[in-house]
Amino acid sequence: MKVSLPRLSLLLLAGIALGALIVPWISPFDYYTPDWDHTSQGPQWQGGHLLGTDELGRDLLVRLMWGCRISLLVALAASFISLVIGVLWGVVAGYRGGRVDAVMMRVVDVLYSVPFTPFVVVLTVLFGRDLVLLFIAIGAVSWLDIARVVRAQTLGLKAREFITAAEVAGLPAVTIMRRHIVPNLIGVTLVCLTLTIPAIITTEAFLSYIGLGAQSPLTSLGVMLADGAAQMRARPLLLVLPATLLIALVYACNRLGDALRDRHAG
Amino acid sequence: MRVEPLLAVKDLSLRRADGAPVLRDLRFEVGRGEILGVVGQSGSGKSQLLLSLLGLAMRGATLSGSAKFGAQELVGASEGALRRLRGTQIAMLFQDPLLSWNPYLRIGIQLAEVLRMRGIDAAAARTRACRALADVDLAEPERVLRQYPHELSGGMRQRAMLAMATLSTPALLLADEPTTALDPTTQRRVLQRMRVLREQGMSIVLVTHDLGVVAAVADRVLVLEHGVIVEQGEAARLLRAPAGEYTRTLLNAARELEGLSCLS
Repeated sequence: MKVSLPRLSLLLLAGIALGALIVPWISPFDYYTPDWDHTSQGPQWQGGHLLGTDELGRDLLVRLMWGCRISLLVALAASFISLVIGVLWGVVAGYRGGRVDAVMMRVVDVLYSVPFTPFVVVLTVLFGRDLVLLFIAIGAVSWLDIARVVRAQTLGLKAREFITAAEVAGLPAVTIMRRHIVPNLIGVTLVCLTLTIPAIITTEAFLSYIGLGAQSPLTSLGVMLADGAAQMRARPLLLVLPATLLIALVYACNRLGDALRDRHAG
Repeated sequence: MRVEPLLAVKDLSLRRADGAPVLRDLRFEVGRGEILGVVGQSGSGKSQLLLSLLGLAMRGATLSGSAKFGAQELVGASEGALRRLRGTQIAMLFQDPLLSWNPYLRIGIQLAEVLRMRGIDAAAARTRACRALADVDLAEPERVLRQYPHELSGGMRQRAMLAMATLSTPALLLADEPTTALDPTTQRRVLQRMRVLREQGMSIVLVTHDLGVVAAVADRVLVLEHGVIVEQGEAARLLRAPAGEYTRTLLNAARELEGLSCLS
């Protein structure tokens, strides 16, 4: 098998996902119970704390993997939400056209102009800090891009003859959208999605870093970055490890997205 | 006694959104079991004529006049009424057999879809789709049903398209340059199938710029120039002794090409 950057990226992603899934499961430690006898330990093979512990004596490896779990979970859930809304919105706007299209896309424009961070702050003030809220907040923002791309693509498809052929065959508009337009959007939406996921991962990390995301004792890569930054002089490992993981995740996703886009374009 | 025509078009005009006329005061009839050839250069409004009969003319264009399909007035009919006619009563066939298929769905699914929509169950739809493919001389129809459009040759795609258009035995088939993209052998097969359909009582409006095709199957011919009918009449008479200047030009151009390719 040829070694290529996209392949390595896929491998890296799979590795991180697998680790995030398995490590907390087989490890004797959990992510929330403090162990006051072993606080702030370095990496060691005896005692089982492979990467050491944090200042509360919690196993670093398990917490890192839990962080990945949360980050990936938020990314998948939020991108799924944005995918569903974005595709529906874009297809209806593009296919219906005219006034419907104008109104729907102006809604997108207006939402686009809402500053994101204050929006999330207001949400957390109103509804409290919650992981589900994080899904909704990120999903609510990232569907806008997908809707725009999908609409543009739908406009192109609508001019294609097989759509006219379907109309001439008397198929109702809903069937045409569902059977003839959406399947033809798979390529472009997939590409869009692989580029949305890393954006969501960084957004989640950012929100958690400033304290609006996952709440202690639950962790995410952003939370761990914030904790690590607090003691980066004494124990740089606490900052370097989550940062490396975050960069690896985002880089792998982006590479994969680029590769998909190239293949789709070619 | 005069036989009631299937389609009676009176003073049909189509104006683009910017007011420019595309079709002007068209007046013609299509009888039952008759093939009407519509000839004219590119841009003479032939395709728009067919699409506007189905209420699918270009965006923002206004259609006026009258087009009676049986008792149903097509001009100004509601979208729902038109959709009930499309596919069941009036079917359409396009020029490019690749573009008219959805590239992501198997042939069988696209054929069955037309029938399923009218409440026919999956098994029956499949059987009918299979028979329709056999009717257009496609070998191994079962296999074709499982194939994607890109796996078929251009000629096979167009014949499959003809099968799809006539699946629900419409009274009127609108064919927009159905043979233009085909090789002569496939052309002959498609035209042969059209003759069979005519014998079964189907009426066909055949838009083409190939006068050979018109000579082969059309009963009557209508010549369109810049959206105006310049001449219409019996195909045999019109091709032998064209009255209009424009028709003569078209005929001469066709003869010249024929002479060059040394074909009958």
